[in-house]
Amino acid sequence: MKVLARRWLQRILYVFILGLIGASIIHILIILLVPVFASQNIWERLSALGPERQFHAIKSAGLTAYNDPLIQSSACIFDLNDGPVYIRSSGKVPFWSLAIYDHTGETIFSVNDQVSTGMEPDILLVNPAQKIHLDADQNTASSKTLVTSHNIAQGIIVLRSLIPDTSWKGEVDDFLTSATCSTPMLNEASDN
Amino acid sequence: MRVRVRDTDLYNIFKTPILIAITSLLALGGGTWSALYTLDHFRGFDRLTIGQWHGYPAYGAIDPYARAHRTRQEILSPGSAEGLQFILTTDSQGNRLNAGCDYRLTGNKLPARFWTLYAAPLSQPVFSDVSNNRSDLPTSLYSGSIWYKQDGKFNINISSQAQPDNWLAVSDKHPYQLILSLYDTTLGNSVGFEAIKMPVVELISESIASNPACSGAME
Repeated sequence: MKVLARRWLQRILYVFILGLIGASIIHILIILLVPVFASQNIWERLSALGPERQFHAIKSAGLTAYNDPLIQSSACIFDLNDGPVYIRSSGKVPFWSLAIYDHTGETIFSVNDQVSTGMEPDILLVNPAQKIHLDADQNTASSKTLVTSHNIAQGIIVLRSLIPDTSWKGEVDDFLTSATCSTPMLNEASDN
Repeated sequence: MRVRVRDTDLYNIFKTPILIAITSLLALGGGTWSALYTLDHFRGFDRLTIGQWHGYPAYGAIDPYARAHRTRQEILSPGSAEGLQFILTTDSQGNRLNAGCDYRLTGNKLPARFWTLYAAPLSQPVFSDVSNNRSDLPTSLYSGSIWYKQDGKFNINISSQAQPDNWLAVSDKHPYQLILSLYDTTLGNSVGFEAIKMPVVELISESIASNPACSGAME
């Protein structure tokens, strides 16, 4: 009887330890796979706002960690394989910042109005292959355009702007609605 | 006698499958549960704590927990050139912020181009649209439009009732947390930053007497 009890205790311990090892493997797998599978949700929610390569207001979409009521933001989704993305906007706002995310929502590039080359966004997003073409033809981008190269396909651009008080609302709205996120005409950039 | 032998046979046949089944159940159930729990409650190892404030700077895509949390909660967190959000849930004594109480935030210049402060409901820890409620009241403050003392320090009174000096209006019905967003900040980007003094939020002791809803705050 004693032997049987000990053997069972051994078995229970064995099952428990094996179960724990299995659980940790599954835990790690889920944590690592969540960005791969759940990332589609961010993309779909942004796609629901409107077509690609256009900025859409994301105030109500709840896609920022804590929606700062003084910050207004617009998002644009793109696929770099369809061509470079040229981001421009006009207007004077107290603060703007722009972040580029890969399709899982991971920040790969961010810039604000004081770090950028001008007071208005003028950013060309290319992939390494497009960068080679761009470098070969020096005249395509003006010297003011900030060129940033990332090895991604699908991605998200978020443009944020501050509304210090309600009197700024109109300016900020204009700034965000004037924002474009389009495929550049090759000589459009060189005109500036 | 023959029955006993049959029993042992049955036992021997089913012993291994049952043990395997229990093990896999433990592994699947435990693994899934723990993964879901951490996804909802753990924001990653890169927590930056200054005083009572917590921030989660994105140091890159190194931390798989932070990454999984962001993706699952569908958060597009601000990039390093944009800003950093700090969350405060307790006062200087370590007690949870009580919606019925009044608090005074005292601070000095912060290492940012500007900052904003607002209260977000606790019940929706991630998504909160605070802009809709009581938009006529100062429910969010911008560093450029508050009063400073001559030495550059500032006070902000956090209350559901109108206050002199700087006033951050909160709802006395819902528990809240304070969100301080620093924009264009060096904080969280540099490793060897100096000791930064974040604002301190203290309970105004008079508010315990004046508001019965506050009485549970001091233990």
